[in-house]
Amino acid sequence: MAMQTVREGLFSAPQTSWWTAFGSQPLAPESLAGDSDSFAGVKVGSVGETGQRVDKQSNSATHLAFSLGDVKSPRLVPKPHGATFSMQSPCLELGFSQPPIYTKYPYGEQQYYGVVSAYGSQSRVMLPLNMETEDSTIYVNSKQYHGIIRRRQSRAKAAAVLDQKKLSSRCRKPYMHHSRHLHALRRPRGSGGRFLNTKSQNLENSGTNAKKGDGSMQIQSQPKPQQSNSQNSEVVHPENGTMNLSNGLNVSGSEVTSMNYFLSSPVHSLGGMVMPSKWIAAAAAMDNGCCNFKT
Amino acid sequence: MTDEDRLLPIANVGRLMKQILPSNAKISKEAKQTVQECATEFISFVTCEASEKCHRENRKTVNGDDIWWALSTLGLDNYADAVGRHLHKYREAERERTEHNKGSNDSGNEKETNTRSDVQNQSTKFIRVVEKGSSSSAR
Repeated sequence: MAMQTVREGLFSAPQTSWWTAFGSQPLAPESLAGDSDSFAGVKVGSVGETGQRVDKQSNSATHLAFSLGDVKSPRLVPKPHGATFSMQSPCLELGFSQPPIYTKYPYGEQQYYGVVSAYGSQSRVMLPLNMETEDSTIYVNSKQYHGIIRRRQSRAKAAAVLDQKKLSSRCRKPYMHHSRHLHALRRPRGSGGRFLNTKSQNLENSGTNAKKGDGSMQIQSQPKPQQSNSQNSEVVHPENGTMNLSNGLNVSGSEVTSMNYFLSSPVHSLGGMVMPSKWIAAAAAMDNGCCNFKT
Repeated sequence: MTDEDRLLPIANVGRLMKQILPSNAKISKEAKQTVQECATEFISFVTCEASEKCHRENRKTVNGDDIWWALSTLGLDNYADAVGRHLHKYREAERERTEHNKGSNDSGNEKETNTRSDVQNQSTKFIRVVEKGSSSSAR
């Protein structure tokens, strides 16, 4: 992270060419120069990206400052965090690097020596070896230390609430409104459990209307595609014509029944007694209570 | 409440980002999402500090002075200066509007509302301040 310590600057090593390129003074002792190279290499990449983003936002020049091995930091508090925060913390921490950079302009005597282990590090002592690994400690503005800790706690609390809601959403509610649920229970259902819609009810009503009057029966039978069947029955069996017509009209609308009627009529042409039993069996098979055979 | 409810609207974030870039610049979806998360966290960070101060003083309303104080306390002096100037301009505009409407009793202070909507109002105000700041810096 970018930070600067005025007090630390008094004891820092002389300026080197490596740090001059980034426009900041190195604050690490000479003994740690070897380790600081690789560490700075890792930081330069990440901070550079943040610098670009900051440039897009504010159109201002970015000054990058590096501080390594702040041994005199009084706060050495390990902070264990979950994987979620270790993923989010680098971006968020880098986002906070902008204000301390701005404070460099007035050159106030502000000291930044807060210690936060953002990557779940359990170290209690500030050792140079930690700088080589990715689990190095991150230095933040001391004024913001308590705020950052408080924000982490509230963020963890909010994350826990969200997790609970996700778990609860798995068990789906059977219905949203109780009154609508009761109404659905009272609705009549057909075969297979589906609701009976208004169209099927109208068809039943029209079937009932067809039973009234012989004249209306003949009129309705003409537009239907069974005209050829009815004509054949009239020509071949003039005496049983009325009975056949009535039977056909009663079970009209069902293709299976009409096929049975077509197949059975030539076979039982002479036997008048067999016809009613055949139709009764067909009606039983169809399980259609609306059919009523006449005489 | 879902994750999206806890973040700023991404379309507005994209529009703000576009204001200070050249007209032919393009912003990727990932960049907008990253800035969205950063801006949301920053606003929550400052607002949490201000809310903590109000909680200590047994107050329920977070007003502009508290936001300014929070920025100063957190060491964000440049932001505090900008917020102070815009807060001053806002109150002058409120005073002029009050004098124009002589019948109203509003003296420029924010009205009493519950903490949740207040925090959201503060966030909205802060977004406006950031927008003005960006425009002024672009000049």
